[in-house]
Amino acid sequence: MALLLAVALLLVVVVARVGMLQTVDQHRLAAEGESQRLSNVTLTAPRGTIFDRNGFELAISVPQSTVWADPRAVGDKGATAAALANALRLSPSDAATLQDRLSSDKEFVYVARQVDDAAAKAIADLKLAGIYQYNEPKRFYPAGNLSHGLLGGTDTDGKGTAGLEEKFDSTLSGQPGELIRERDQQGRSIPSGRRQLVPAQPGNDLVLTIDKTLQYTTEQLLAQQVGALTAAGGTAVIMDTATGDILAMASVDRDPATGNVSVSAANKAAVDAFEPGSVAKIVPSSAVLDLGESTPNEYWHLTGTHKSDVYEIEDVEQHGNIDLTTSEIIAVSSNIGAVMMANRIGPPALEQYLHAYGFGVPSGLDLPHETAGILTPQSQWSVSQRDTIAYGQGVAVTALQLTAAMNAIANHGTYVAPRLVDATIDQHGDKHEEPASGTRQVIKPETANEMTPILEGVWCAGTARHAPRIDGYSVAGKTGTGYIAQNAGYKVVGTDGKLTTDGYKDANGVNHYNATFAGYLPAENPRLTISVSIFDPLPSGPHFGGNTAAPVFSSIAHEALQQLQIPPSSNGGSCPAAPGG
Amino acid sequence: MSTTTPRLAPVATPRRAGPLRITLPRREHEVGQEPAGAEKRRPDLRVVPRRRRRRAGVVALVVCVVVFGVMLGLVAFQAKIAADQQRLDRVDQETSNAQTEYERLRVIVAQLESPQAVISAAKDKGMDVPDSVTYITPSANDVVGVALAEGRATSETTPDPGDDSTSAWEAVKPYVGATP
Repeated sequence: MALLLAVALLLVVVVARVGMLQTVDQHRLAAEGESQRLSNVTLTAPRGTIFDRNGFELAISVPQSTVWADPRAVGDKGATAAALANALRLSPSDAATLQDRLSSDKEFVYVARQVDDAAAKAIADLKLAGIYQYNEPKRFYPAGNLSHGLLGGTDTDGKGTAGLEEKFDSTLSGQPGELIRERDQQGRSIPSGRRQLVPAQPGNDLVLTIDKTLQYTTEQLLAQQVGALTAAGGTAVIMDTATGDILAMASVDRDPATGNVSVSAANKAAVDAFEPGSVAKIVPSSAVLDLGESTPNEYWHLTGTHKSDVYEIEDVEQHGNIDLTTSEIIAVSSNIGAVMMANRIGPPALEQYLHAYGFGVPSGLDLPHETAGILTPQSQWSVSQRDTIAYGQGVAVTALQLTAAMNAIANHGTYVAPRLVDATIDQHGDKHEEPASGTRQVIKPETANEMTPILEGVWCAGTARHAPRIDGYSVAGKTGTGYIAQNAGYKVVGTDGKLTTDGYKDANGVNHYNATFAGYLPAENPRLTISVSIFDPLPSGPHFGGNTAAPVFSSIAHEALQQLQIPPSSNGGSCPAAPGG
Repeated sequence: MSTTTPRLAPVATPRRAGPLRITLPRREHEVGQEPAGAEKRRPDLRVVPRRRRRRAGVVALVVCVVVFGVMLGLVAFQAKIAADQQRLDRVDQETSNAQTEYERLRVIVAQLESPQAVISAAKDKGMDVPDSVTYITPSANDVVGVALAEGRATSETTPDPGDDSTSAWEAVKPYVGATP
């Protein structure tokens, strides 16, 4: 009887407990059970691909294995760390750091992120307790360093940190998804269990205006010249005259320690501003024609020197009093002639045309760290600056701005904003063209038509006459050899007889230069505008735009014309007749 | 003393649909033990007909078979679901692996198509990057002349002798082919 009572009591307790579990505690227990079964996985959105204009991949993301550890589940920390270090080829210090991480009390520590397939397989084959892998997208640049500065890069988490990767990060990133499912201890889905999928939305792809082959060729030719001249670096830009599409934008640096020239990690063509020198003479010369203040054949009486504040302005090829036409002033790149043109139109008009050509104005590309250059308001120009701006000193521009400015003349006086992105491709594979570049009239078409023969004169008989010819094609352009500002405090005697600082001389009294050639071709029907700048070639060697940058222009133009199948000039590339008088 | 005659055999009653009533014979020692005045009744027992017994057994068997069958079916169905779920997981994984492999092959193809890779492969085959390149650009008249000689053009395509403009190039370009 007692036994019966005891059993009955036990039964009552059990039933009561079951009742409690099924009623009072049901929600808590159900939640606990669900939390053990439910797996919540964030689905990484594939990052968009960056293509060149012909559909070649320039940047692409691919899943790679990331190795992680649950230190609580790792057995022999030392042996595990040693095995992993061997598979990953870690240095002794890195191996020690890994062992420290495995000895922590955390639930999750990274061992190595985005390892290559061979390392991932080697680690998987070790079957180490507490060591796991999952896939993570890694950014690859299949063409190596090609357009490195332009493309930029991403961090380990796939976020854009520089260049186009940074600028278009939201476009390329996409939206992560989520997978909620019930799984067993082995990670297998529980049949008929809860399953909820929110698919990841892949990022959009970018189709650039860049041509991969032209970009590579341009970089190689530029690097070759920079190395040959022992220069600090260089830039080159190729622009489609009509559309403003940037077909190539190259930047190279030379390591002064090793002499090696490599593609720059920075997009110097857009972020580095420099005083362009005489190539800026296209502004006062076109302005004076556009305003009807002169004609191509008007004679200007030039003195041998021009006094500007406490300085004296001379021409490179020194002369006495001579008479030159507007065309000849540009062909021989006379500083004094340019100053006279600028003085005729006055600083307000000169400033207006400088802005119209894009100097001191953002290009509209809005690239990371892009600069608008330096152009102070004309009301703040010093006495000497009013003169020096006429020949490209006292104003700083980027290679991109210079190319777009020259392109305005090539494009019949119409400025076309540079364009880098041709289209985007959404997650459905639909291509969306980017809008055409904005335009503005800088000079009248008739003025542009007057400027072209003048600039052809530079190529044919002027400061670029020694550059290799491009058989069959007529070329128009302008050289520039700008001083590089120095902070040496070098003193010279001014025209007032007093010591003054020459900010362009180094401690040894030597000038340093940036040499440029910007031009377009075929001159009679321009299809391409190209600018080349060589930064700080050895002052003792070739350092003018005509003998450093113009030859590279010629080589690049050769390649571009053939690759783009641009027909020869109708006149076979012959030079125009010399201006009368 | 009672003079009731013990009944040694059941009283046969006519066969009918209802249960038979059988009264068991009473033993001698039981005689005279009934309380005075109590009705002499025997417990009612009835014999279930053999046929009904059989039917109930069949029904029970059928029910058991059905229940067992249903349970077996449920188990089999659940096993099928589990197997299909595993297959689904496997297919999902294979799809993911195939997608990953595709992306990796894309990278390999892109790397092989890169200018550096092409030049490297060309050098491996004994080719050199020339120091300089000479481009030969024929005139439009030259092109038309060759095309005429080969019968790929008619005389109507010949541009005017004095007209060597770009339009002439466009007219002869189809005969030159995709690349000049």
